[in-house]
Amino acid sequence: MEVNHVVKPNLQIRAFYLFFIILNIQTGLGILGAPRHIFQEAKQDAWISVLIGGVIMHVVVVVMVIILKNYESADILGIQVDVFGTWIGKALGTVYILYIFGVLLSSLINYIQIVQVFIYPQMPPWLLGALLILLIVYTVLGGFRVAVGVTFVFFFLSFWLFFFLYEPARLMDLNHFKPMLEATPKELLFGSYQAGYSYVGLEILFFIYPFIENKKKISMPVHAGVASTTILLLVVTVISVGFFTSITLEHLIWPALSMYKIIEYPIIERFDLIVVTQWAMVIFPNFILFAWLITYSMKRLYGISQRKVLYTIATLLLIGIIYIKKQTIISQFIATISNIGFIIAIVYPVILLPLVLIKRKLVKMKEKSK
Amino acid sequence: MKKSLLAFICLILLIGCVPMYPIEELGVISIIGVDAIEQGEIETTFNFFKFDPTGKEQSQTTSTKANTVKGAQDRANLESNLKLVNGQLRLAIFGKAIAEKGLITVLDNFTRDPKLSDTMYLAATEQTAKDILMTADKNNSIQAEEYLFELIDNNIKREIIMRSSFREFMHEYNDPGMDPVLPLITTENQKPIIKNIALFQNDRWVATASQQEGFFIKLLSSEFKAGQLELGILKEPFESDIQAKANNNNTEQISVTLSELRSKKKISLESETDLNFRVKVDIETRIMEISEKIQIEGKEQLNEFEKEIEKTISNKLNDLVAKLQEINVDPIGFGNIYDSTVRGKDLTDKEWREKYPSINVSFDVNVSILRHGITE
Repeated sequence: MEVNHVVKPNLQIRAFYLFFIILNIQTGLGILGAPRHIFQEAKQDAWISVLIGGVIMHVVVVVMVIILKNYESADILGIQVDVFGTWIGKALGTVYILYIFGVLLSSLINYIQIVQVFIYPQMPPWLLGALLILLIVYTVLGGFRVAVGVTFVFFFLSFWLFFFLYEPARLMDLNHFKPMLEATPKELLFGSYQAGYSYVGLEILFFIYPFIENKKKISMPVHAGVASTTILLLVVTVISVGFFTSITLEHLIWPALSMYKIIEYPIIERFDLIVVTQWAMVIFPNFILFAWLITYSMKRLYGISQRKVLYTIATLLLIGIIYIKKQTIISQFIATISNIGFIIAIVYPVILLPLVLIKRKLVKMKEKSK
Repeated sequence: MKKSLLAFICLILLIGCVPMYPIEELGVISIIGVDAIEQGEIETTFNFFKFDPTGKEQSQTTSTKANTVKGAQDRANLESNLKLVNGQLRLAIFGKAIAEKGLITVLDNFTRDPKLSDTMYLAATEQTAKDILMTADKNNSIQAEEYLFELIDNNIKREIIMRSSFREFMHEYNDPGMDPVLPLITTENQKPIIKNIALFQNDRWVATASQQEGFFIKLLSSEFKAGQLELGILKEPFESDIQAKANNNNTEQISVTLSELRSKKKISLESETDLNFRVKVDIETRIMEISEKIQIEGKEQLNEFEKEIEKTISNKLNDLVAKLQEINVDPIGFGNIYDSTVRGKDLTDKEWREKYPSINVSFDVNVSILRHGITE
């Protein structure tokens, strides 16, 4: 397996699109439940936890960019093979694939569950699952550029939801934030850790680096994307904490969705139903980007055709959707994925950095001694 | 091409698997009334309407007994040819018995049901909820579901009664330092009307407050944008200004009606150990009506008026807080202020119930009369 993966120019994208990819993939479903998890740890200082989380993410981005810049046009799969050798490198790559499959499955199940709870309690899960998987297969067959295009378009089609938070924001009780700075540093850090599921997705940068046309300019859009995610999460968390009492917030599974229940217009009495439906557009880019990542990585690692992989994961997803039904099991599944995600997305790059630097130095010294 | 056609057909056909709700077969519940009857059972009264393409919308009322509200809904289904759905529920009325026992067992299930709207109203009644709904249903001059909803909705929008939405009730119930209130509905002349306000201790109805006390609770717990208040102030300082005696026998007081009343309040905890609260209330208003003919001229006289009104409001507020302390109900939310000012562990409900009777509140009311009609 080649360490560097050269992509044909007609398959590449401009670095500018990274902003939308990062923002979209991070927002996803995590943001719907995140305020509750953060609040459980940090209480009224939840917003500080979000900010700390944001700062950590920026550091991770810096680390990832340094790692990637050490190579010409490599992705994480190639880098792992370069650093750890073929066998361990490929094994780690497989772990990545399994993890991404877990993320994909958990978000699909989570979304189907939300639709069941809010709109169609009688609808069997396989039905919506089949509809979504059909769409995923159809889009991923179009390749990476189509996936990015969908991400870009859907961002603009769904961003307006954000502005409707003004109504719950108007009803905020500022006393909920006082007294400030009561949480201990430990609680704050645990709060940031709980925000993890919403920060998952950053690792996509490790995979799509070879597809970027102007590689020198990647820092700006990625940082902007991470900053926007942080701001979004911050706004949603602050409004949730202000809007709900602490007891309510600690028990709501999707506080961000419940907030939309307060919005009411003469022609649309139940705005939350629109939000649930519209949310398909927010998470659909996640589905296709993750599904594409799996097909691409399997091809890179084992040379299996992308089509075959795609049909296989489609089947596996459907099976998963049919068998995982209980709310408690789903929550546990998501929590596990979130914990693994924290290690893979945040801790792992930091561990990888010194290894990559040492390896590069060794290579250079060898070249010199020759 | 073949594949995309296949996918397209799948997409179209799969949609047919989603359960349907033909609107003609639905009974849309708009109001429910919940009463406790013997042996822990609940009697639930449903007011629902049916969309009839040929005629006017018809509403029906039916009541059933079961252990839970949902169970009652299932039974009510048996008594009707329609499928009852609760997505349009706008008002829930609670009878005296269940309100005194505690509403949380019922309301907790409301929060669990995503179909229910957070903006629906809650109300209590001294009679049974069934009474109210049946009376409204029998009265042919009103349409029960619209009348009852608008009775509350309009009065809240005009700031005559206080908060009563489901969201606010749950919010205040869950906040350890604040208690909910609900409007009380009674029937008079075969017509449901709003009378008084029910004060809750957590989820239990413990006392009743008058309309005017309700006004002062709102004055302290939120703000007015265009409120109205009728107030009796002392006659004595204005004796010399009265030009024509009114025909009432009240020799001590003049009634003043204030309208377009705009208020702001600020409550602060001055001393943690002594539990001293300071409440600053700013009111801007307009004098609409005075029961005696008084010529208001010049700044001084207006100041006199303002001072008298301030004094009266302060007294009323003092009485109100004393009454609330006596029954240990805190609809104003002093506990919230305490909790958000004092550092350390979170305030519990029990702790606040012990502290609340001994808090001291001092009022600083500031009234400014902006206008007094078109004559001087």
